Amino acid sequence: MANFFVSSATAITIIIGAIISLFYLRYMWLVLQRVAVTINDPDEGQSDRFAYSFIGAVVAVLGSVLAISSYGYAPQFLYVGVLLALASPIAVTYTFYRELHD
Amino acid sequence: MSDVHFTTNEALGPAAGIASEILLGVVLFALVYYVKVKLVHNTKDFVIANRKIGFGFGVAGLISIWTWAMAVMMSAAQTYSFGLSGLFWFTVPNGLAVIAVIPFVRKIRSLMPDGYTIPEFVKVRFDGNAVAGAVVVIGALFGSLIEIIINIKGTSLVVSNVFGVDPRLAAIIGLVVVLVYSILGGLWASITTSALATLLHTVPSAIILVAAFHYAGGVDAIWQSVAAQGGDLLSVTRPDAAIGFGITLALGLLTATIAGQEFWQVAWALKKKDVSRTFLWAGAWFYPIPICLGLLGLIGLALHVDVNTQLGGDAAAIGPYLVSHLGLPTWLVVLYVIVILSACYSVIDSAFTATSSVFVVDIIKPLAPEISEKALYVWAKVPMFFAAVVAAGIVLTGVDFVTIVLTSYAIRTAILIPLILSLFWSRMTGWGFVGGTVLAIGIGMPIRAATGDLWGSLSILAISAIVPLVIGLANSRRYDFEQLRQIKDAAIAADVQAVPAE
Repeated sequence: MANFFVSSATAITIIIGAIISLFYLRYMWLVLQRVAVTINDPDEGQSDRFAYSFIGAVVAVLGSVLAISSYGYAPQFLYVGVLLALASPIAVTYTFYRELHD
Repeated sequence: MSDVHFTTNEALGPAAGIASEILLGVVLFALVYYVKVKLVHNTKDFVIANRKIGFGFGVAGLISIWTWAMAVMMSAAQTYSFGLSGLFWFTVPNGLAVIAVIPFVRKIRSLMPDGYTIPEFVKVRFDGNAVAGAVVVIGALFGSLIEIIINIKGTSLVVSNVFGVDPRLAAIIGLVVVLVYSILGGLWASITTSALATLLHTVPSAIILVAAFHYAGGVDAIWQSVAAQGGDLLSVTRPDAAIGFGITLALGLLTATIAGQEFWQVAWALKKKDVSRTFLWAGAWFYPIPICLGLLGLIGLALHVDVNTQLGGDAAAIGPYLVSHLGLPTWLVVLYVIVILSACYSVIDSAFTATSSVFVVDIIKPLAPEISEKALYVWAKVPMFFAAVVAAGIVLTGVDFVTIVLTSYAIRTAILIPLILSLFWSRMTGWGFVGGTVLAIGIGMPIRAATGDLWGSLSILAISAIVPLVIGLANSRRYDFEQLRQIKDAAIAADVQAVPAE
């Protein structure tokens, strides 16, 4: 069994990943059901006025540069990639949540 | 580091490889069946998702559509080849390419709210200029075909390397799996399966990397081993990575998104209010995938994996090699293959949908404007089948598809600046578009062959900019972009138009 879960760090990642996956799938399913119900509703007609594109782009690019650069500072920073890979589905779950409540 | 031994996992036979391909297909098919029943009832649903894709599915779908097998395997390969500079130059332009589309999709969605395809926009923008339209149709179809071929190659490469499956069989199974569910659900199928694939690209990647750290001796040993090799492997500032592939890749990525029908169709399929934020979030949250999986390349460096004796001369094999030879449990190896397969499938289904919309809007509707909705819905599926047959033929016969790749690359690069000018410059003309594109290919490709990727790409871009600018400046007429708003929805069949709205 120890070999199955590889190490305590891997086991912790599996548990966190499973929790994230449950939320992700739940919200994805809820949004899919909502779309099925509202598919014939007219588009509200609101225009695309998202004002933070440029600032967001700068933050995203700088964040990725910082994350990759951090790998070179110390061994422990190699776990930044793992944390980001777990953060990404959390962010997507949030977008499902927003779609559900918009 | 000397304690680490590479071993072959005997449990990984061909049956497990074929089962992985089919099992993933069955899961995706079940999802698409639900989607088909609930959401896909006519051609408009099939090719443009009735313009009802929201923020959540938009972000989740785009992340996976942009995650090619390349992003999964090449991030590790470039890290293995150039250290962190390789990861930097592979990753940063990749996410930026998605974000860079925002001004273009925002503009096109505002000018032409009921559009479907790039060729449709070009034809309307240049008053029906058939030559300009034909150039873009060829570019769009070639581009989609190449995406299918490259990703089906990725499927067969991974499944054959890890499980020993015949690569041709692996390719055929992969194509059939994606074709079946794509024909069922069109763009909705692509977006929903890609949303599921995004989860498969992220959580499993984190688990696999933590396990790989463990089997490679831990992060301290990995980091110290790479640091001891010197050569700025832990720095992001090595100039050879930028010159060797970084700048060319960045140009290619920008071309792939800004001139890619796969992205434009999503821009037109999203709800109006969600277009910009969807592309921003997708670009930003795509980054973790290569940032995470690229570290397999660093492990390869730390363990002194030899590219010739252990990877068959191909650095792209570093990820699959490490995962299948480090001694990881079988279930983690299968999980890694699922990560790559889901990346391949999501790009292929998106390319299938792109060929469908180009075929319906730019070929069938102009040839048969009175076609019935029922017939149009059937015809929308035909190009997917043909694209699969052509891709299978190219992969199975072992034909060198370098020429197709180069042609596709050249057309897309040559179209990039004329397309941007068409969107933002009122003096841009149809002949400027055609002249810029054709001359850029005709002159730029020989330069590329003689001087390499970097100067070749820059030449194509320069020629494709100068020619339309010169022709446009000589043209006194200015285009009224308001005309684009008058364009009717092209995928609405004649018999549907005749039925009054309830």
